[in-house]
Amino acid sequence: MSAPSAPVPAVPGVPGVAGNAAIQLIALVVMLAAWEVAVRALDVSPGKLPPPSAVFATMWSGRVALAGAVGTTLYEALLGLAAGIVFGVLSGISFSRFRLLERMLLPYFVASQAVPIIAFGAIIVMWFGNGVASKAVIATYLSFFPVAVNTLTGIRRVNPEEVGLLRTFGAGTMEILWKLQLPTALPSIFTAVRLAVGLAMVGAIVGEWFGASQGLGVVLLTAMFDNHVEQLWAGILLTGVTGTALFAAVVLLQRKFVWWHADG
Amino acid sequence: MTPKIRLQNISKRFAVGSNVVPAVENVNLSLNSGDFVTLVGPSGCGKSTLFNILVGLLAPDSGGELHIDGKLVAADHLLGRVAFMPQRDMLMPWRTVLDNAILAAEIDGVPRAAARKRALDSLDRFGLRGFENHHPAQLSGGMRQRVALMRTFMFDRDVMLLDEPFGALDALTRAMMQRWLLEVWEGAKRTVLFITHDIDEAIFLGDRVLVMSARPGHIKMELPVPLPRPRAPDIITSAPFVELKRTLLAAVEDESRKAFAAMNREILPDPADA
Amino acid sequence: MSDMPANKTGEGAWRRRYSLLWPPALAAILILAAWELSIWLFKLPNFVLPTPQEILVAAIQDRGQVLHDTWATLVESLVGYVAGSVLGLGIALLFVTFPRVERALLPAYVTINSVPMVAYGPLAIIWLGIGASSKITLIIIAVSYSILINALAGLRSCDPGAISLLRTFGASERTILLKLRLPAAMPAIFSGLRVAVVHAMILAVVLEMLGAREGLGWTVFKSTQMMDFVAAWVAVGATVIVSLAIYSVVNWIGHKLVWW
Ligand SMILES: Nc1ncnc2c1ncn2[C@@H]1O[C@H](COP(=O)(O)OP(=O)(O)O)[C@@H](O)[C@H]1O
Ligand SMILES: [Mg+2]
Repeated sequence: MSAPSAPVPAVPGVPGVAGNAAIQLIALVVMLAAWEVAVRALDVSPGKLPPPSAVFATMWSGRVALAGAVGTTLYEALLGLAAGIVFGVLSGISFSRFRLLERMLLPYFVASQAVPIIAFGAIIVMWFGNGVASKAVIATYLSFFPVAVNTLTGIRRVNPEEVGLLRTFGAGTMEILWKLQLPTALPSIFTAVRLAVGLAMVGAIVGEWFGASQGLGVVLLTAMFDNHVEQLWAGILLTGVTGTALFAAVVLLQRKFVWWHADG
Repeated sequence: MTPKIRLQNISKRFAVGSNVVPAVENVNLSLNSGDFVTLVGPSGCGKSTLFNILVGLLAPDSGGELHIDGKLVAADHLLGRVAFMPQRDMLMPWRTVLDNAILAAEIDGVPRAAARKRALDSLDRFGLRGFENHHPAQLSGGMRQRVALMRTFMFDRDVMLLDEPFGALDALTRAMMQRWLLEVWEGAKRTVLFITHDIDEAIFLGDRVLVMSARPGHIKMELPVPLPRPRAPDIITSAPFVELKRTLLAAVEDESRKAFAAMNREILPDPADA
Repeated sequence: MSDMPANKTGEGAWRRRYSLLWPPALAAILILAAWELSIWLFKLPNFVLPTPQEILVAAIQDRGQVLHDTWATLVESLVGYVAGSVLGLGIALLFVTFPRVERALLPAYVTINSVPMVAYGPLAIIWLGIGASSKITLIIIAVSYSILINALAGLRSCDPGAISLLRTFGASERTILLKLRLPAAMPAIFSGLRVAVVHAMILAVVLEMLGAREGLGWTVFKSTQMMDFVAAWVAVGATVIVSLAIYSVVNWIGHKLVWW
């Protein structure tokens, strides 16, 4: 087995014009308009592809239930993400401390990045039941691995001479961790968190497919079974908006906390 | 008077692969309280290694002794007792000038607010007034060095070790920084050991100049600098200065040639080794 | 240095490989032991956690089914992966050659991909049915996107000085693309190809869970619904092995082609 050896790479920045949020928003509006016009002009059956106006009408009439679904999925994803980040950072720190632990487990952590570990989700739901917990656990373990790997690589990036300097000031292990190692690792931790946001959303939604009573995954699944295409599109758009909002929140936090690092 | 710090027969060998590289060998030196001693030597002769021993980061090989105020101490006893300024400024990019300056004091246990207040009061002395809220990336090389020096001064210790602090600066900035360092030092008498590879700098700053030999480094020559203080910039053209420089140049030149020859030997392996 | 006796370096390489391998092997043994021990200690029934032997025995007994499912998932993910890679690279070349097309189309591509691709799963099933085409279509979209983004970054990464130099030699844009930009973009393209493996596998497995007639994801789903937990573990295990195999092949090709 040749396990992937590289750490989770930084997501290459979306190049050129697309990086701009305003342009992205304009693109969305243009696409929705084109979609509306095309569906009307070509007289597509709404059962195949409903016009956005119909999708928004469905969203509006089902707004209470849909808001509940967004809330549930967001809660599951956030809970999982938070736990994944905490455990990930803690394991990254432990790896940096205990060389043997790293050599024993890191290969598996890195290999997990090349495997659809979401397949274990079915088993997780079996273990943790149909409630919020199982989805949060799935989101946790999906976001955990990249955060752990990148915390370690971030801490490894610390120059040993800088550790030495702090030691000459009389700093202990914890002070070196807080004042030097974690701040240095923060950019690469954030890179992993940006990746983890998407994974946590996917974890929550797919977890809901294995059994749940509420959430965006449930909206998508029931719409599929009922062949309710407007509802399905409503679910897709809301998933996109929720995921993008979560991602944007992380990017804002990153700008606030690691402004000093170039690739923000 | 007992010396502040005394090194006796200090050696350090590094294991590099299966080889053993002696970096410093049988170094003997003492620093008296309030001394400004400069150390010159060819690059790679073990100056930084010696500093790492003096600050407690490296344990010397057995057989050597470290004395502080006349007492024999273990190597790691020195951690937290000597104010060290490494060759690179190592400022933290996420901290402001002010917070970089108080880093050592903060780790030393001074409450942040008190340390900040003290730092604000001494900004003028370090020529950093108005820059306290800037970040290192916004500063010139000379300013960054001043922040690093301020951090070292704010770590209130009797002994300061400065490893080529002005090595990366252009000649004009460097000359200004030297005069400024002397002013600051005269204002707050500390014992200073200052590494440089610039002989003018060594004489201009020091009460004594130590010359280190090529690797394995030991103290090859010790030359007192009887020039009066405060020293004016044009002292470097005075006859006694030039005389000292001639003596030092000869000694350093000799060692540099040896270091260069040793380097060539390493590149073209000696047939006897095969 | 270079005239070091060959057997000595060989020995060193072996020692290094050995020192890299024993810790994860030890971890695997410890994990298996903890697995067995907890089943024995807490008397866990096999629907909570089957023993490794049970899983292995079931895998061997049902090998016909397992191989059939593995083949189905492999075909979906590989067809989607290869088609998606070609498409992504093609679009990247198009965009680099005609920046106007990029300005018009890239934002749309980014918008479509800002929704987690699995959320399109139910729609793909409705539109394209529960056969392989729904899986392959989504895989193509996802894979082409990650190749596109990486290839664009790679194609743009090369030194403008080198481009001007080739221009002074009278090179055409096409020559510059083939001789300079594309080779320079290879590392980035391969890192996209590597990441895309797991995207393809995730989509294949997850979409099979939503609806399929065969495949590893479908078996995981069906077995958990039918409370046949050992079968679910077998299918999950096969998924892991298939992904690592594809990943290793892509990685190996990458190392052969991008040796610099
Ligand atoms: N940690 C180390 N391991 C192995 N060799 C070292 C180490 N630190 C320094 N050396 C070697 O010791 C010699 C002296 O280095 P150093 O003290 O940095 O010299 P200087 O500061 O005078 O330029 C050099 O040849 C260097 O390669
Ligand atoms: Mg040095």
